[in-house]
Amino acid sequence: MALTGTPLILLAAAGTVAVLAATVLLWSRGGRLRYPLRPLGILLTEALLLVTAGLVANRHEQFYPSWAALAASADPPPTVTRPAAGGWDGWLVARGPGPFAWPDPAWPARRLGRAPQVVPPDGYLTHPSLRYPVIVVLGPPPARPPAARDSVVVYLPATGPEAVDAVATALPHDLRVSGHGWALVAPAASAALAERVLTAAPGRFVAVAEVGRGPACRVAAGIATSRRRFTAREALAWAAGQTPAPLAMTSPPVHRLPAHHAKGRRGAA
Amino acid sequence: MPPDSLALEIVVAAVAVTAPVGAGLVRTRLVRALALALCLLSAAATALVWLNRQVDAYPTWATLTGSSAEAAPVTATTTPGGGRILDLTVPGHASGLTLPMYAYLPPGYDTATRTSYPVVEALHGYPASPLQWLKRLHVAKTLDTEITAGRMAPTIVLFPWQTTRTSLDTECTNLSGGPQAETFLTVDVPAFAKTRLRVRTTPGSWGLIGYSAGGYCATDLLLRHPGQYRAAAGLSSYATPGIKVGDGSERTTYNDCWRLTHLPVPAVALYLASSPADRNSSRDTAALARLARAPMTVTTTRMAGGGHNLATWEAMEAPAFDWLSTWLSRPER
Repeated sequence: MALTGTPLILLAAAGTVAVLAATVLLWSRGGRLRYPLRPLGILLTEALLLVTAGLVANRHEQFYPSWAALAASADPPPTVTRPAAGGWDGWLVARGPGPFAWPDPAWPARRLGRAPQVVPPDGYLTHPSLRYPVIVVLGPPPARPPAARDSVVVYLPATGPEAVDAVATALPHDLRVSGHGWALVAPAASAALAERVLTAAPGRFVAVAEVGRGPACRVAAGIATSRRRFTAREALAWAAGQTPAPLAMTSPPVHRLPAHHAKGRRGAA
Repeated sequence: MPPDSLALEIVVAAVAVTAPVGAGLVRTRLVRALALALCLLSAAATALVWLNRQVDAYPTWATLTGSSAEAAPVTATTTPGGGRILDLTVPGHASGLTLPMYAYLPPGYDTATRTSYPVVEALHGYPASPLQWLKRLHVAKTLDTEITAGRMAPTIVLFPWQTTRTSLDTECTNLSGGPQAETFLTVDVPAFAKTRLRVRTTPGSWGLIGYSAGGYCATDLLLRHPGQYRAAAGLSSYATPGIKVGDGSERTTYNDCWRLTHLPVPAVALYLASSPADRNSSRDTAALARLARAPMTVTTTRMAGGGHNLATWEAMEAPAFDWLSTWLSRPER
């Protein structure tokens, strides 16, 4: 019999009426037994009345849709998960810290231009449980590309959103990076390119910093921008400050909730 | 003996059990009638106190008499070395409301005195109060655990009251001719937090979370104020306020499905957790996920079992806070 079904409510209501009737009928009967029977009858009537009211409220609001939901303790068991090591992590340990050119020979250089320069943050290899946000810097990289605090920086001498997409597709396999919460740094002169990059991947970037003259890029409400006139180094520092902190995997991870995870729209975590 | 205390529940339950014994013994009709009335009243009171202990809608006697201006002092469960809870009163210069608020300060807040933190505003269901987060959903302990494990960045979490009296359901809207709850939550609370706490002030640093009616609040305030909030998480939430705002806007601008259909969509992120057994909330979650479009993103999670209850939200809250942290700007040193 379902917890929210009409039969159970009718049964409880009928029980209430029956016990009430029995209490009234037996009030002056039953000899000495009537003294314990009276309070028992009243208590049982009250309890059944409350149960009936509770069942009606529960059916209406679906607090506990099933007996299992009523009995369950929904506290999920603690799950400890670590992100998969980035494909380049081992290579990075052998190679040591510092910037490097995208080591994958599969980078489609002819179509997307020069391979990106990648700069992992300090502490990347000593915190293997963390995933880092990414800052994509458009334009030719400086001779010694600087790092950013707690963010992976990718210098992309590229011409369009396709190159950013190529990075976004490949990087989560190669380094421990998050899938969203990224920042974009672009020369103010490349505002149109920056806009194309932002609109091509909704949800990926949460901030855009423009280098040089004032902000020229038009962004949707919800993406952080600054009115300051940044140098390249300032833009990088500001962008890093807008991104999320490096984080360990959720526990229980979203897809391992006591049930299952149904992904929403694109950009979903 | 506050109205949500175990002591009161034991007292009224004791009366409810002993009154029938008295009613069975007395012989005078008038006294018996009075005793039977006491039986009914005490049984109803036992049920109501139990219910109030679940939802914490009336944490003090003052709230029962129609005022939420007096916050109940709270001793929330935190872990050793974890965060702490502050009792505050927010003077609402923009809304004209002055209401209590609790604030969770993360571990390290008192020592890292040059750090400013991202913020999450946590909204409760109806009927309830912010105390339900603290006392029934054990949110401080959850936040301590998630922050200490590195799954969530150290974050300040605010628990504001959402109405002037518990019997008035505002659904975080500006009621025509009534409390301006939306203005209080989106203007006054951030302004107050900026003066009293080391919060980050950039829009990408603020998020929202809520369960049940609070989930509607979180979704709605995110869509209406993308300049203030970057992300929101709704647990068993709805797409409409379910009340009359007073000007019919519950069918338009306060209806989130209408907003997604008729207005430009902001670049914000929304997380909706629901239990399929909770049909109303699941239906609204599906509608919102279907209607959302770029540049907005929606993540949905479904829990097997569960319902529209505390155990479900307690299971949902940690992953939701973790998810919010993946969108909000980091603490700034």
